Amino acid sequence: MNNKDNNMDDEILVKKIQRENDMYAFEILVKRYQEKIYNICYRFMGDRQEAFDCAQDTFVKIYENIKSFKHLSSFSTWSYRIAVNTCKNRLSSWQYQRMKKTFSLGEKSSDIQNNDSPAQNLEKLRIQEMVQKAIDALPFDCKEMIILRDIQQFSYEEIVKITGLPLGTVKSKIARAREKLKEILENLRHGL
Amino acid sequence: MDCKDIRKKFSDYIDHNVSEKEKRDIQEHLDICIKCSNELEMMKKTLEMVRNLPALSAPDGLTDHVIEKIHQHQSKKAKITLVLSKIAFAEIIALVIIMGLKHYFPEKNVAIPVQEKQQLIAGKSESGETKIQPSEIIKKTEKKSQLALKTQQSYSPIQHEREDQLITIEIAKKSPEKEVFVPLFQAEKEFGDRTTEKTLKEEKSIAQPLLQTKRFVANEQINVESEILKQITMEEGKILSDKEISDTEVSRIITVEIKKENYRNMIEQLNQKFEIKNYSSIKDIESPETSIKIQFQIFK
Repeated sequence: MNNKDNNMDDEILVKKIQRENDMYAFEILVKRYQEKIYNICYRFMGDRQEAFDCAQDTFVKIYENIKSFKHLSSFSTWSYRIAVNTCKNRLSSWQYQRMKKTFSLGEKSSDIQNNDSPAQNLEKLRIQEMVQKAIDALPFDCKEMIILRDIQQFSYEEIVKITGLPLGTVKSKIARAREKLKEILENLRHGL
Repeated sequence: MDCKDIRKKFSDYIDHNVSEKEKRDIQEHLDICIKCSNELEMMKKTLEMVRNLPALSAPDGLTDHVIEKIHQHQSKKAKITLVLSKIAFAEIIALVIIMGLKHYFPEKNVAIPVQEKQQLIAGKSESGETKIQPSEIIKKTEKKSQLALKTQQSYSPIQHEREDQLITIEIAKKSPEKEVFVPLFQAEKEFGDRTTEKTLKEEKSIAQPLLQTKRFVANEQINVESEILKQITMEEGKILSDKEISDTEVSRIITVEIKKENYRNMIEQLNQKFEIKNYSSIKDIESPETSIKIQFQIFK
């Protein structure tokens, strides 16, 4: 794998995989998207191990289905959609529901590396945990909108492509999701 | 516009998705309404908190794990193929032996004893069961031989090609009322459901009170045809034909070809938007091909 390969467009890399089953090209794509996909999975699942498993499954699915990818949408949109669907399936699976009942998945998510005082860092951590708890409490469609629009900051057009929903529906779902998240956070803050 | 209308537009207002006029109306309202002004501030703070969530770095070794898992899958597949090819080889050998035996020991007509023949023709009238007429026996024998012929044909390599399975999906154009699930507090605020204070308190006391849901009914008018066409494009499907019909119950028939693996997702996505009647589950689809043909019948 050389630098020239690393700078190749997604489309060229995908075609290399489709034609020659090029594992190096696939490795470049995994490295290129692993952070984004891992973060999407983490915000859906609220747990590092679950996010790791979902991200891994997403890439395996991408590889297994890449021959049927016809470049009608961008590779990134297609892979984000697979990631969202993988998380959706995992969240609704009976094994996951049973595990969720058995123990809480909540955990500290932060990677805080800054010059703030320990007290400031602690406060940041507390807020981050509270926000993740609120996201976890959202129904799937609201969670999907908050993660795609407000955390990953995708444009409305990109969300339309990832979810396959019409623009009007996406707009109204985002508005509803934000309103719900605000209410949940208010309740959590009052409860604290 | 009253407070309720203004608050509905907060999300679009924050994302600069409102017209100049709407923007002016909202700003004018915010100047005079402290409650809405506070609500907007709360919304902005919420989104700021969400946007400030740190991006996590991908765990070390994720790429290696993915590549390893793919190799594992591939070797599993290779093993399965090897086992299947061994089975196929054994089947061929068995077939050759059977054909050889048939060649050397041709089948002879088996004579049925006269008594048994008479019993067959007479039926078991003494035991009270229905009599079988001789003609029926002939018919049955014919049927049996036809079946045998068919079975033979189905094993013949010339007849191996199966007919394409066409899956029909019926959709009512007038989108029916759809059940949507929302958190209880939200349902109560938006739809004025009455819930007693006691229930509310109980729900607040459990770990995730807002996961409690309440049903309500929403009726969105959706352009069914455009939703289908959009979803087919999303799932990388191919439109084979698209016919409009005027004088039947069905107003439009769209025939498409789609990858089998994308079928489930397409149905799930469409089912979120409107009700689909009589569709096959992926388990029911027998087609051995990777692509399947689907016919959407849109009713008036």
